[in-house]
Amino acid sequence: MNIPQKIVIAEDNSVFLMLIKLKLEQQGYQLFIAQDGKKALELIEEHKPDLILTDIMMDYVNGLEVISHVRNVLKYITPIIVFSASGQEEMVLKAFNLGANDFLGKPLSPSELIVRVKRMLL
Amino acid sequence: MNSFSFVFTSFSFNDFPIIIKIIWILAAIFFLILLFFIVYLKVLRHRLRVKEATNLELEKKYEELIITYVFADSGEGRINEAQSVIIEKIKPSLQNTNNRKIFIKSLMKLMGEVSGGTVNSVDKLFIALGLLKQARAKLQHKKWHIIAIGIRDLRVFKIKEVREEVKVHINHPRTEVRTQAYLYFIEVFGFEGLDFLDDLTAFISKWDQIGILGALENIKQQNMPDVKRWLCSENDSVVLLTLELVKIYNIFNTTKELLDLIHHNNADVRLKSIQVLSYFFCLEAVVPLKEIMNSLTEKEQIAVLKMLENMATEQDEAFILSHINSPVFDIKVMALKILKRINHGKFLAQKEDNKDSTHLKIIEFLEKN
Repeated sequence: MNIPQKIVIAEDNSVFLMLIKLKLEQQGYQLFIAQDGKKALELIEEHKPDLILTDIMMDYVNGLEVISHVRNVLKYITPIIVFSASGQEEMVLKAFNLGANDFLGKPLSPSELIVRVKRMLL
Repeated sequence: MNSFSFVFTSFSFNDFPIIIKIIWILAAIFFLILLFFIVYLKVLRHRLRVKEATNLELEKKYEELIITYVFADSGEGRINEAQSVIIEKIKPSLQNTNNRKIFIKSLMKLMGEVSGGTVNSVDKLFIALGLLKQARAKLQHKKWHIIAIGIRDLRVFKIKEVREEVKVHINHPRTEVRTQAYLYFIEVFGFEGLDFLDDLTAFISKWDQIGILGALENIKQQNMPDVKRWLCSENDSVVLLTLELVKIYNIFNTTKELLDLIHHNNADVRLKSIQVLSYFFCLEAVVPLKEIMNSLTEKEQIAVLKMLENMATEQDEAFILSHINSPVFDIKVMALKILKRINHGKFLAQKEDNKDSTHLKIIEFLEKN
């Protein structure tokens, strides 16, 4: 029996979070969801996911801090995909400098997200 | 008993002086008012908390229904049976204004984050629930803020059929309504939506200009319409916005209109057109600008010299020399800077020709830089 791959999603928009959670669960992934960066870090430490999806702008701890913590404190090499809205281009560059592997601009297509996730987890 | 009644009667309220009585009565009244407000605020806070909790619960319920609806989409381009069941479940609850507000808020939360097929699916839900009809009705409302909300909803859900109804509001007296109308045209129709500028008589504020340019930035298909007619508009704010468009989108075929604009009545339009011509490195603009230089404002003269900083040739020497003694510091510095580039010998000779200390300091500075 295959063990499902684990994904942590950090996103503060509840309805969007629900949509991508269902879409990814349908693809057979095990999802752990966080509505802020602080909770995301707890989930990452607890579950050691195969992939992290994070928004940049979040409460308490933002996406950049999540990436920095994962790369510099936890020393995980887990792939990270960043969601960014238009106008956050500089933030995306910072995210790449901190160790993000890919980014998706919002508004995003859930189908495209699935393709990117699958490619990242190959 | 006797001693108690003695104490009581000896401190009777009636025996107090009138001023003390008034103070006591006022204190009692204020105490009662305070007590009333404490109780009232407590009840109000409790009610608001209950309402907030109910709204949150409702929002969560609606979000789940929306996601189930989106998830049930088979991609056939029409509402299927499973989606119809969800629509029938949501519809009755939307009779209530508060519920409707919460539902639209949830839909908008999703619309801002997703694209592709999900957006089409949500658009269909919006129409099937009769929300389009309601948003349309809001456009006829007496209150301006209801109209603005109606246009906002139609914009977010990209409803194209109401174009003419929204167009009525582009010259609305309230800026909030106008802003929503501008954004509707751009977000729904893209660059083609800029046609609303043809009929715009209201002033486009700087803030609206930023909003319009920001909305255009997010449009992927950049099929810019012919902007020449807006450069000749009677509305100066339309001309200024168009000048921004010409610069940002490098619309070079507008040179003739830009050269006409340097004679415009509005100083802001003249200044902006000089800046755009300078940005385009338009050599044809040099001669006409030199001719009208003396009739221009200080800001415009600086803009002209800034333009000549890169474009001036030896033929412009006489013109530059006529400005090196300008009382305006910026003009003086720029003229000397241009002179240094086009005729270094004449620039150095300025040290001998003019012994003014400021003049010499500028020359020394320019020599080193």
